[in-house]
Amino acid sequence: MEYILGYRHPHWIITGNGIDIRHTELKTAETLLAEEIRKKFPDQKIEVYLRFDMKTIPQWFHQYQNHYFNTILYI
Amino acid sequence: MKQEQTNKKWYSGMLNTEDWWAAWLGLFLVALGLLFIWDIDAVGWMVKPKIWEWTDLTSDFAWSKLWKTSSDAYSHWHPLSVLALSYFVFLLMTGTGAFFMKWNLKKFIYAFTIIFFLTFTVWILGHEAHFAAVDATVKGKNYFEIYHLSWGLQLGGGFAFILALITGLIIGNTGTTMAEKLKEAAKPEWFIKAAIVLLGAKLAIMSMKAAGFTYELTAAGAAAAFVAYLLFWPIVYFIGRKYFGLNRNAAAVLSSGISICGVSASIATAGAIRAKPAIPVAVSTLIIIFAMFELIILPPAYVGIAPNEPIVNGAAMGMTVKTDGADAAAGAILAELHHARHLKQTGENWDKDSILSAAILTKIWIDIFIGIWAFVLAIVWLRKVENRSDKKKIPKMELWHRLPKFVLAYLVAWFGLTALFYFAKDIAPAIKEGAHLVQGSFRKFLFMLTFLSIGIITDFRKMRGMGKLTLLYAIALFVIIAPVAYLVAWIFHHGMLPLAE
Repeated sequence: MEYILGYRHPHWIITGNGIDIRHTELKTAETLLAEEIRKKFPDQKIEVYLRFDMKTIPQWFHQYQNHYFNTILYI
Repeated sequence: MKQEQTNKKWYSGMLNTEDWWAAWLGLFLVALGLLFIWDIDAVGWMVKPKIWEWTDLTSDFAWSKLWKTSSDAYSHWHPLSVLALSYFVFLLMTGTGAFFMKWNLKKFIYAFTIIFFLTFTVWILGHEAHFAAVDATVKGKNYFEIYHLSWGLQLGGGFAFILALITGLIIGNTGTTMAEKLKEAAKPEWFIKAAIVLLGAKLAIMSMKAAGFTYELTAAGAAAAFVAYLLFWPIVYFIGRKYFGLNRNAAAVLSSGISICGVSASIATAGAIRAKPAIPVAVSTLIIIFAMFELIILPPAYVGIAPNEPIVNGAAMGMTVKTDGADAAAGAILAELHHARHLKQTGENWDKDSILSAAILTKIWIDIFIGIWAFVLAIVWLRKVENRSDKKKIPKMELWHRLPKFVLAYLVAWFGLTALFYFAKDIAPAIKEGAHLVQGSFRKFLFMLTFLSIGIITDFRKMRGMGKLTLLYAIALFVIIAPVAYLVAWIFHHGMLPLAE
């Protein structure tokens, strides 16, 4: 399962599969995502690929480094 | 401008990131040079400035006094045709990259055309005899005597670099809409990374000429970069936390930015610890502006302080000046200043690229370390700072994505050509001729594009409102990084001298 992680001041934003979560703390946003997924898929172990939204970084930055790290959440 | 999400598969980004396109452009040019094996000169048309003198030019004007082709095979072409071909080939190469990276092609072509011709004009102006000619005989010619000069700055090719930088800075800081338009194609990192790939070809030539020197330069560069790395980061992090009250994320991003390799490291670190993007943006703005001061101040300062240690100076430059573009630019100015000074004093013609390679090699090692360091930080932050050991992990693929691909291309050019020199001795002269042409005029022009572009994207007004970070950056750079880098460079490189031309 894949979600997109971005940032628009002052919120971290997680979107995808009909979910849109915004919070100022990344850890809280990820916890909220886990809760939403557990509601949809109770009693299942889910692996979530959290892909970083490159639009978060200004385009002129891309010549130096393209993206933040992606992460995997185990729910 | 459209942007892509490219970071999942191992081959992600091969066609739509600047890092990969720097690798493709560099390797494409190296491959063109290899056509010499079949007696095909596909690179000799590239323009190359000549040393000229303005009264001589105005008294009897001829385009051919200003520039020539890189090889004799195209010397019968009209200089304007050669210039037009050089422009179209560069536009085709960079435009192809811009197309695949989904940039606005119309804006890119407009901006690149202006940057190309501006860069070329500055390149030619910088070779006016009063600026560039050195009072010494090289290959049977002394331009100082040929043009009967009464005075001269004697800066060699260094003056063209400095002029390009000043021109770019004027454009970037005058607040005109022109600067914004030119930023569409002002890509110093892209240009310099492609140029560094070509420097890999030069290193292969140097390996053939003096394998021991090249090996020593590489090993010393790796050791110096590693030692400096381990010293810089904790010191800057400690000062940021203890004396400037920065939070963990800001201190970590700043430490990586200032102590490792500038903007790339600050973004990699921010990405690893997932700091809010405003932090690496602010740090990177500082890095780019400070890099400008470094590349203006440090080359003449190092030449003045240690005129007989050009390799130490080059290696120190690689560890002090942040961003690949600014480091290569500073290394190129340093090489020109050392070369001109030594030539004037002794008549001996040093291989400038030995000094430049010292600056680049330390930086290359640091670039390789960025990904590993960011990966380590990511794990430390997850396990220790966020304390989330059982729920979250970093895909190992991220290590691959952090590895700079232009470095791979640099190594391919270096070791690939070295292997050809070694195993195919009968065609080695042809390979050397092609590699020599490619890493000559092409690389120097990419350097010129880098100098102008760095100037264009450096806007000093962006420093407003960053007082605390600016102060910490200045202290860390000039009190810690520069002296420690110099000491480490001296320990590992002292006594090494550039090869003779």
